[in-house]
Amino acid sequence: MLVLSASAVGAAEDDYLRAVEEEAQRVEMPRIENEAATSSDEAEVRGSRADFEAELKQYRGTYSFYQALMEKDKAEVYKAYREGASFSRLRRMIISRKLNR
Amino acid sequence: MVVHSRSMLLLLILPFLVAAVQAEEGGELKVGGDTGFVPLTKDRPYLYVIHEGRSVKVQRIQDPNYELSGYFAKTVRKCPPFCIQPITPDPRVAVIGEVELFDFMENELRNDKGLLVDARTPSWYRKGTIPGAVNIPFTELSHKPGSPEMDAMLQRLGAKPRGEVGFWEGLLERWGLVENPYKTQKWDFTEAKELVLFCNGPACGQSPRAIRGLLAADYPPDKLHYYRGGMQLWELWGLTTVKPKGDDGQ
Repeated sequence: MLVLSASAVGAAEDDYLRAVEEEAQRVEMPRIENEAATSSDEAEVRGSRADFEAELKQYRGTYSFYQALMEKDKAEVYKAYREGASFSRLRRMIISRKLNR
Repeated sequence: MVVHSRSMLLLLILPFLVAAVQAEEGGELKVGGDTGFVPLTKDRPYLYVIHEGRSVKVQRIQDPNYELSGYFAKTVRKCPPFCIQPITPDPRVAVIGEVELFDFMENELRNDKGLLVDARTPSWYRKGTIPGAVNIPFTELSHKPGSPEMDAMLQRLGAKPRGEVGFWEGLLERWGLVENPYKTQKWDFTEAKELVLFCNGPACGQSPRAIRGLLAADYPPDKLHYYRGGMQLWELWGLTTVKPKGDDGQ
């Protein structure tokens, strides 16, 4: 009896998986306007250090501090940028490193 | 003396430095109001999350005329199997919405304490997912408890096998004299990751199945969170999605 009910559950799961897969094959996804992986949206993806420095240049004061940092500190700031830190936080990092070295 | 002079100079210019930075704050993105920019929430314009090794900006679509089309705009799907799901697959598991998911992305996910799990089959995942998500299909989270596959999965999620538990330790735990909320006889879930699981939305049974599979394997319910809105609500809000690299989604 237990074996029967276990196999019934297994069969139900198989049916569900089959239905899920069939649905996935049928579905045509629209072009999603807010899709970060498309090449047109590459600017929204945080990238190279050069990109970061170009973005930082709009904060002229902070950028001049950044230029004066040691390489190790610059690398730390860039790492935080890659990890998604906001520019407010990055600027605080830069100033703190500048004032405390 | 030179050092002293430099310190004095720094003290003198410090207020100006702070003022300069505060002035730069003016360059920060202003949220809501007259700017026309639609933020994620009142206080959060957007956020960044790491996806496949790169940082992705998560934000709302800014086009006020944008309308959802395609699969996630559908109101009806065949039921069964694609029936409206209960609010939670298990009353012990918290249900979260988008704002809580943003918090999770900026905290647990960023600090490597959590995992955002797209519990759909790979054929769905390839069509697009939430930035920061990893694909662990529900089929891999529903193996029989104690099976080698499920044991390997639990270890991947940060659980540690306990091995032999000493007689006295076991006895004290059974009597409730030692507090070990994340330990079972076989597993130590203390370092196991906080999980947020999602699938296609409120009519999708894939993540509920995954959650039930994890609970059956003794994964702590308070480390599990169900984002019931899933892809459907994520897209309805016009939030950023990503496609796995080198995949055309077909």
